[in-house]
Amino acid sequence: MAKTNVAVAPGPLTSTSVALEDGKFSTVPVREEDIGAELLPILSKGLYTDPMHSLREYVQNSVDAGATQVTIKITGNSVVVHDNGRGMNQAELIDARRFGVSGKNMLEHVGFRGIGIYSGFDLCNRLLITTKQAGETHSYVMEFDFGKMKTQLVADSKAGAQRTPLIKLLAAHSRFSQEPAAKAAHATTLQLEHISDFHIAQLRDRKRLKAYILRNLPIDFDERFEHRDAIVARLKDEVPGYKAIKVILESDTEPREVVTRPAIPRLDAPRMNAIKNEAGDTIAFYWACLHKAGDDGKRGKIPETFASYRGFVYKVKGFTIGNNTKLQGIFKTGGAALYQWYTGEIYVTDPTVIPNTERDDFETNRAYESLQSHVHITLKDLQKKASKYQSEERALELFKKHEARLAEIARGIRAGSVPLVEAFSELDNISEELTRQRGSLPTGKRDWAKAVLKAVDDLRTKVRKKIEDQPKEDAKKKAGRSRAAETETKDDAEGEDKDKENKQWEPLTIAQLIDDAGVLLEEDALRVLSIVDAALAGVLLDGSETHQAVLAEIEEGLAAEFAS
Amino acid sequence: MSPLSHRDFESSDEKALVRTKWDRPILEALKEKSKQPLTYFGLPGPAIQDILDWRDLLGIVTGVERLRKPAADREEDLERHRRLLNNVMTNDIQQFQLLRGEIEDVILQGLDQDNEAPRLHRGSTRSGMSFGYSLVNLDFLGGIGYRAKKGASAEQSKRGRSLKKLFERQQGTEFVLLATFNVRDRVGEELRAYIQSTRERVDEPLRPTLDWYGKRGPAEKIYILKVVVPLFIQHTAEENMFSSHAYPPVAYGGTGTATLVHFAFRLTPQDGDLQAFSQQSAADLIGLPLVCTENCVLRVANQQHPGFDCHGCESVLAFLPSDLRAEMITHAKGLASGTSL
Repeated sequence: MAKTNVAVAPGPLTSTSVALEDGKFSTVPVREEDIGAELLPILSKGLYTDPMHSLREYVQNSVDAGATQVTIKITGNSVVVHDNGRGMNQAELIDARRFGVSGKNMLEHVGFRGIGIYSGFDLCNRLLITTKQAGETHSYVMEFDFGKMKTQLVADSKAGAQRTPLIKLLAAHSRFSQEPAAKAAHATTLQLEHISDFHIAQLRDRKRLKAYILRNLPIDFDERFEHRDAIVARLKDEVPGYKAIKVILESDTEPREVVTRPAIPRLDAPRMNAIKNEAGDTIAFYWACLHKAGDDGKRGKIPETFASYRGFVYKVKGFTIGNNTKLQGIFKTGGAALYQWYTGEIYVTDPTVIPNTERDDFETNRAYESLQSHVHITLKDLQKKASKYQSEERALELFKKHEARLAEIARGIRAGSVPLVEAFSELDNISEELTRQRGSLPTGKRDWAKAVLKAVDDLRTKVRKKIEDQPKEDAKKKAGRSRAAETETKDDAEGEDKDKENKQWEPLTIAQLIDDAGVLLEEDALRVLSIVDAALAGVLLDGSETHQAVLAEIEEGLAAEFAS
Repeated sequence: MSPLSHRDFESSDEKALVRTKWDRPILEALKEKSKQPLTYFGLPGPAIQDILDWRDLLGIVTGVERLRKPAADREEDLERHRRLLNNVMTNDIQQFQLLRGEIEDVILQGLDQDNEAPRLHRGSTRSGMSFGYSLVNLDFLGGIGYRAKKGASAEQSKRGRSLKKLFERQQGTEFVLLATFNVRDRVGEELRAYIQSTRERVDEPLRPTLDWYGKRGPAEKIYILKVVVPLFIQHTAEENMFSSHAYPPVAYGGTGTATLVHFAFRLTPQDGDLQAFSQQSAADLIGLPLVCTENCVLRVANQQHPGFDCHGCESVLAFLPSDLRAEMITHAKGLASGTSL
């Protein structure tokens, strides 16, 4: 059995400071001076390399305090973070100073490591927290003089200097006070004072700051977002500890701005569901909205203005892990196109899936692998839904296009400006295409599509009948013209013998016209041509005006083509 | 020697009365004319009471708080900054900028200790920079002047210089200037000398009145301030192409035993290069009534200069709401009939 709490003589350790026993283990107390103040800058500089990380830590605390609104104000070389959370009483404020100790619950709260309050150590020279809890008659104030702490550490680093223990450093340079305040009020104001020019310049970059906030903090949806209530209600039910806040940015040089996730317009109602593992346990919860095609003609893609919201992101307690390109590769068919039709989030609820320190990915473990595989299935299913939407859109467009074309063809036929054979061919193709696409249409459009298809088929039938009836029509016309010619001949019989001679038909064939044009054809071709000649003479009546007109046309064409 | 303590100037009921009943109608009139929120530059103090009382009239606010070097003073000032910013955030005062340093230095240099410029500024050079605030609130927490070094002969009062520079920087912008001075100051005889030189330049009928003011003793310093400040401001304003309209000065107790005189001016830019001209004459300025607070009520003070005509109060108090104006005039006439004026 180990002996516990062996006494340690005060002062620097020697080989006899601790009374150990041969062969027996003893516990030796850790003394105040065993934990050096240097730990503070090591952690602060190591974990919080970007001033925005410090802001994130303080806003995390606001979220954990139940705040729904946080204002971040930059004035001069100070940053002020003010929230409407529940505030702290005296005991809680003093406890907040503890190093590496936190009363927060890992499952419920975002911050739980007990060091976030020191994240501003490298950033500023003075940290002030003024906090008021409802029901308390006073506000309580805590001041950290980080500037003096840093001065002490510099002094300690000189050769031969005695190192200040962490406990002494914190005790010497932190103070508390109180002031009367309205009983019902509750809020916390945190002030980081005397920030360097370099860091202030970074924080003043409004665009960068806003992008960081949207990416890294649990920002609420804009109230105008159509599906906000539905999504938030489900998230509150399904995601333990879900919280979202409104962040207001203020500075000396730019107008006040409320940071919310934007109200992306024209989104379908969200699809929402839990993602479960093989055991049936919920490991994540997602929501996803498809973007409806807009008046700009783009089909389904989230508009460029909201490009950073295309696709999906992982969230852990409202904080984004990685970015929206992480899951893009799952949408393989159609490439990234259909991925960009969606906006959505995947809230990881499995506590064993742990974000890495940089928050750009997760720590590799079985739980994460399982999550990935189930997310893959979910996103593939969403991709199929998007594809179906895409097919419906295509089919609808096609039907609309052909409906309009049908009207044009009908007009053309009535006016006699569209050749019947061409019209028939086109209508045939349209009918075939529409028949193929009909099954892709949304259910609500099927009756309309059926009517369009019927109209196409009806017109096609009419055109075919017209084509079939065309020779009889021509014959009737010819017969009418012949009777008129006979009458004319009787009336002009005596003076027109010579004219009649001139008008006598000299039978011609296509073969002769080709020969006259100097074109040499093989025997088989000539035989084909004689069949065509006979058909023409038979159908158009040998020597009729139409027959002559056709031959004249051919003659002209040959002359143009084979003119030497 | 450091300027007077801020403790003399913390919020009091009388100060609140002046802000809400006296200053507010003046500010409302300017806002009504400009059709946009007033922009504030000045000394709000940690409690930001003036900002809170006028918040419906205000847009951008630039508040100045000093930050002294000696350790004990610095700690006190930092605590003021903390309280001020906490009050700004708790009361959701939007568009607030905090500048650190003496306000005189900010006006003279165009920058605060951290090299930050007032939010509403044009130009970048220290000398050429202009401001564009519609309300300048200078609760100077001390006398109208103090010298950088005690007994320095040629050193012009920094406060006086900053007042002049203020007009230069505000050129072209119509604004209301509010200023409150403590009767304790170190420019001493300079104020009497100012009265004397004014006496030599005014018409004969005014001279006895100025003589009366010049003879006021230390216990009646408020009268010296009452007559000098409007004349000084008008003169400085006109040199910088502003016409100046002075409202009657208001004397009140503040906190502790300090006695304060509050002044309000409406400065209107005029075209031209040489000098502007104000509608109020020297006689008008000298003849303004001294107003005071009495049991949290605004009153025409019992004691005025000889020959004071309370019938003139009707026009000089025309900016006040009718009920308050009527009450003050009735009281003033009552005093006149009792011959205590």
